[in-house]
Amino acid sequence: MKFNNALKLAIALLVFLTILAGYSFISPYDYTSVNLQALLQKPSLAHLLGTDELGRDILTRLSYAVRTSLFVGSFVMAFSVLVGCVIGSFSAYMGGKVDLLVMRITDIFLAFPGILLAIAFSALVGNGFTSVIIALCLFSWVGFALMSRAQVLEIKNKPFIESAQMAGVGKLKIIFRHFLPNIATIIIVESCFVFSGAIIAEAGLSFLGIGIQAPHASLGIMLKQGMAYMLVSPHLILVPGLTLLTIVLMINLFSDKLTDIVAKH
Amino acid sequence: MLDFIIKRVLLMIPTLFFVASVSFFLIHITPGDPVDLIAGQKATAEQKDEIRKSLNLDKPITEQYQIFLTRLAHADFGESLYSTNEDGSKKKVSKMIAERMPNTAILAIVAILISLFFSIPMAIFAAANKGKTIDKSILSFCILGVSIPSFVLAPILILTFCLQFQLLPVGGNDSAISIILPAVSLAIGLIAVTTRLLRGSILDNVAKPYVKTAQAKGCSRTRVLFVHVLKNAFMPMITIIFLQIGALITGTIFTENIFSWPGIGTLLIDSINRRDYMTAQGCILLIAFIYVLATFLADIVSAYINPQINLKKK
Repeated sequence: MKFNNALKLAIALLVFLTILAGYSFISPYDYTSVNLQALLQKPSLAHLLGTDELGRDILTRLSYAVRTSLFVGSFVMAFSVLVGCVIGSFSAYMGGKVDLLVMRITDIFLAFPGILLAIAFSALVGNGFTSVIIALCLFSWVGFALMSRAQVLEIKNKPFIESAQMAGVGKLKIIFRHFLPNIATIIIVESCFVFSGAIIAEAGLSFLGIGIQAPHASLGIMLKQGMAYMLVSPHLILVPGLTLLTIVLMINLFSDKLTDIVAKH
Repeated sequence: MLDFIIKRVLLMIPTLFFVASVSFFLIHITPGDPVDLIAGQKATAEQKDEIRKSLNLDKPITEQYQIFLTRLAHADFGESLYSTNEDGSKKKVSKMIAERMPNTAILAIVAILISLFFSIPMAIFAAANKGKTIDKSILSFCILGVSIPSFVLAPILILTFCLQFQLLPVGGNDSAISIILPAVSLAIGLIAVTTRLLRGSILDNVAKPYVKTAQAKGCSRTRVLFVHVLKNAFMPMITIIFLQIGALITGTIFTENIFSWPGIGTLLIDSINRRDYMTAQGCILLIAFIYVLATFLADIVSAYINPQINLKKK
């Protein structure tokens, strides 16, 4: 029953995102093409969500912005899962001084607010697409490292690992074949956090003007530019704002449901 | 207890050292001349030389690092590249921060007060009606509150209260009511987190034997909840509030910029946009220090409240 709900949510989210992101491929408009004859139009048949202050089609821009969000979210998530789990499992598996060192490093990262590190990175190193992704990857792996370490410590001495060791299976192979599959669910929950966190952080950085730069489309840029025209065209902020909220909300609900399932087991 | 505090202080030092070093080295790891990066493409050769001198970038990197750390130990963040005093001399970053800091502190404190004012009754109400519609709607609000980013919530608040109903000023810090919207938009996330936590904590406590004892002795339901349960349920909240100070301080970066609230957050983003490298670095360091300090205090408080768990763990 519960699992069905989680599955339904995941499918709904996927459909929502696919339709939104897919629109950019069939849209008759270009997301950067300026049309000064059609400024700040209300939603109509020609422009389903209206136009912005430069006459650009909002739905097309939204679609590109969602693509940006999805790319940033997926990349940061994939990187963090891979790096975090490998570091965490490795640290727990080796134990001793290696483990102690890794834990000190993660302590330091945990004590530092991630978004501030991203702001510092964008501010001091430079902004743009690549910087945003690097900045977000810098701290997102820590949760996975801690989690996989804790899980590995728990199952490290279970009989099936011991028998694999006795059968002469190599250390790396044990990590990939035996440890990682055992911690899958909890990793998925954390992945959801990192995914939505990265999407929010990218939008936030772009909103502050130190993330992805115009004329590229990002939910943050759309919100920032929309704020200047709030009085005449409130849909300029409502469209990207509610889209971002819907994505984050659905991911959070999904991970909530998943956490319940994990807790029950 | 003292042992634990000393240990935590010793753990805090490498963290602060790391934070400081990162902010120092970030500018040096980028390819090319850091002066070009700071000054921008339009700067003249003289401007570049001036920046190079004022940031000590003409000295070897080990010496720069040494100067940087020595200054930091004296709470000296250097001089702003562009802001000047009335007599034309360069303004100290620490002075600029000191001017803005009270505003950020007020905003954060008001946000915490607002969140306590709403979350405590909401949590009690939800816990008392566990499983009923009211409980479910409060929990739904919590998920919404956790999910909504401040830079989505704030424009919606402005749209509703400033433009639609024209009740509150859009931004700035001109009158006492200016603080309402920024503080509320900062508090929503906090309300969601604390309500959920306090509700869970109350329900945990209700299941404990001491509640049965009190009930058996003839204590009324209200008295059990307010006198016995709430006192115990509130304990973990104190730690969370300290932890949330860190989150609040980073949250102010967004909120202050949306509402043009003259605090550290606006100073940080303004100086990033003006390429005032020294001021930006000072703000980042300060926010990071506050965050680390808040986490440290949260640890100490939770150890004080529940010595068993924490002292054993370390």
